[in-house]
Amino acid sequence: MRVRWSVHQTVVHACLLLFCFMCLLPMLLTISISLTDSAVIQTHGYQLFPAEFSWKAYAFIWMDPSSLLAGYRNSMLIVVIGTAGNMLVTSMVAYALARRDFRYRGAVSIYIFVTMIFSGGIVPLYILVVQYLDWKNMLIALIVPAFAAPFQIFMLRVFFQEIPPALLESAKIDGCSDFRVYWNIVLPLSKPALATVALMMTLHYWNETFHALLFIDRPTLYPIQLILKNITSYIEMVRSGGVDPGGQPIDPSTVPTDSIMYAMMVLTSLPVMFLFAFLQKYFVKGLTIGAVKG
Amino acid sequence: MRTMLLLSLVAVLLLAGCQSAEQADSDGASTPPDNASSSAAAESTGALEPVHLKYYFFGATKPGDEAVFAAINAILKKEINTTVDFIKVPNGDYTQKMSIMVNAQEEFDLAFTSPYYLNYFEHAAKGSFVDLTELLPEYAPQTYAELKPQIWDAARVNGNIYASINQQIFARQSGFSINKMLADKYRFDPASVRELADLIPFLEQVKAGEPAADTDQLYNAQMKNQVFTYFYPYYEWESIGGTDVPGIASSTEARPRVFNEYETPEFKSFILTLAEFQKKGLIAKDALTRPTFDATKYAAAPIATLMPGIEEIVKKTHDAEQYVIPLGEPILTSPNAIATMTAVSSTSRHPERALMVIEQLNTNKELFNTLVWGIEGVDYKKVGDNRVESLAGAPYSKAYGWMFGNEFNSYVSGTQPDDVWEQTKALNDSATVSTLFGFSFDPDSVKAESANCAAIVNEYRAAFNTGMYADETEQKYEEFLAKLKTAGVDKVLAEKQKQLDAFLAN
Repeated sequence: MRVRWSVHQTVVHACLLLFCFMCLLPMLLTISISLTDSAVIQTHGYQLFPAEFSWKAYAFIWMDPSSLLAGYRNSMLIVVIGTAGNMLVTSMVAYALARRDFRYRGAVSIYIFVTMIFSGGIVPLYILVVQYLDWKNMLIALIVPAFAAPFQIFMLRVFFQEIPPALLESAKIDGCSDFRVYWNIVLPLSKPALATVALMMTLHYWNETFHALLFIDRPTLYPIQLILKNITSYIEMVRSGGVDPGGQPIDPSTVPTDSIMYAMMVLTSLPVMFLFAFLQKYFVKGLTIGAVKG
Repeated sequence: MRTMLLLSLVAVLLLAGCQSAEQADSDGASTPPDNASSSAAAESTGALEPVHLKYYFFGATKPGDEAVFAAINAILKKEINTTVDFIKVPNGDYTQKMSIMVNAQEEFDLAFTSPYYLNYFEHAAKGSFVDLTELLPEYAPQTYAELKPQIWDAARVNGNIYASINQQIFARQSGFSINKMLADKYRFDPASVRELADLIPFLEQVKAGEPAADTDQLYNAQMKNQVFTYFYPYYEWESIGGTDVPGIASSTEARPRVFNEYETPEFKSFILTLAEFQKKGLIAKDALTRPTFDATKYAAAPIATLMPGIEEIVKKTHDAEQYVIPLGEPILTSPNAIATMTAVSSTSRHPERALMVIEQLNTNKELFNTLVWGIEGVDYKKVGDNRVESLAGAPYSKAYGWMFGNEFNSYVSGTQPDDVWEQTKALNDSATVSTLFGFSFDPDSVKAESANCAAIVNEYRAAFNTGMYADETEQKYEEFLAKLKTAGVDKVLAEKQKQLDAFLAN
């Protein structure tokens, strides 16, 4: 009995290890390519263990640390303000929709649901943000449009509905206002769900590229993803036919093009990876919410 | 009690509304505001009032940008009392971002345009750009006089000019470059090359004679989507309305007939030769998927445009002395003449001032070179009267001259000969002018067929251009032609012919 169990365990562990390795491989490869000498990439292709180790790509990026740091700062601002604002708005809406005594919750739900499926298109959004709100070249243009996230609203609503109504009623009897019920009872009970929303929104805001590209013209306001794009853009130019952005003929192998791209990827995803490590325990719990009703 | 709930809901209704804002104006078809007349009167009388303009083009931003743009604005302020916001957009996203801005009718003044970036024909036709036919000679007289009227005809859409042409090399002549050291070693006569197949014996010798590690990519197949179009000038052919949609014509015949370039013996022999290359291992085995190529390993490579000083350029690219073999005669076609232009947006409040900026960019050497090279002593140093060198670690990265104006005003540098611009100008002037010069194709009536054909071309092209089908090439080729027929290629050809005939009749 004992032996069979451990065989079983070995197999399971082996499978999990393999799976774990498969998940980690792309990340490890990204890191190792970013540390490979570009000449080695030319001759040997991508390797997990670089034949020749080199910090050149990172050195290249750090030649201009000011724009990179500005990018981090802008992205942090967007993420912190955006996620906080989004959680407040999203959870308040979700709470209202979760309350059975709210008469229009069906109609409002449908209204929100429609925005999840249909979108007005990018040009109307652009007109609204740039011409009506005059938010061009302001980080707020990247923060506010994502405040009310329909998917997250529905997710939280299901979670809030699972809180026993009796609990809320007793709070009411004790003299809580609607807002205090929401703030002091519902929110603390929903930490896993809120952590999940926070993580989702952090990823959303951190990865914001397209809107940033549209609304931000000024390089000092670029979020980190646009800094990455900017560098990619430079590299594409270097690659196209062996001329630098100035049209000067250069030897493409002198610029560590591949490793720079991968180094940039590492630099843009590291902060999020750390965050994920801290929030992970909530994340798993949060994903299963709404799955079991009881 | 319920106020809190209601308040939060009101907030969310407003926010969710962001995603479904009004659809109005999104098609960009509405008439552009006509501001031209209002301020023109004011400006013709004496001193110019201060004006601020926005100028969009593509490129990677650098920390030195601000200092350079400030220096340029100091000049512009002095000359025409104007300041300009120079705004760079990452090059891969330029067309998309600008199209949205144009469709949203956002106010800006100047933008880079070409048939490939912010589609010039499309936007000129739908009124996104100001008609410059009258304004150019009036507000940018020297720029206008710099080019022959015939060249300006290339920029005409429905008879009007919608952008100012940035002068650079217009003539096209294709060719090959061959590694000099290897050619000499194997006693190969570069002058004997008349077509792609002539390279085979040479490349085979190199393959057999050199160490295997150096011969995995002897022929350059890096530009797998373009290679065949490189040779159009040699065949005296010319693409019509982009290179993705079949249907091209001869540049030199008096009555050109539109034909499917893929249904020609030239194309068939081209891809069969490349299949031969692939089978003999002369092209990288993984040419379709490999992320990077090593240009120093090429023993031979095609060149799209020969220009003065090309020997030095290919020497740098391949890191070895090269023989450059020209094919055919240089030819002047409209796609090349209008490859780089500056347009004035129809949302601009000061189109005439925008044209004055264009005039400055094309005629003020100091201003132009600041924009291209940066600031002397910081970004570059002068090593001759008209010759400069970029400084290592310069905070501004040198810009393409053709992005902003007359490239012939640029300082020369590096490998360019001192008289590179005189030579280029002479080449432009000596080139045979295509019969199709000034013709532009309006794809509207065959949009669906064009898109279908382009999709099929894109499906096969890269594999054909790298010889990937090897022994199956002929069979795949038949399949490809059959698919094009089904997709309606004949209708596209007929439409192109119809428009071309109408053009030639005038």
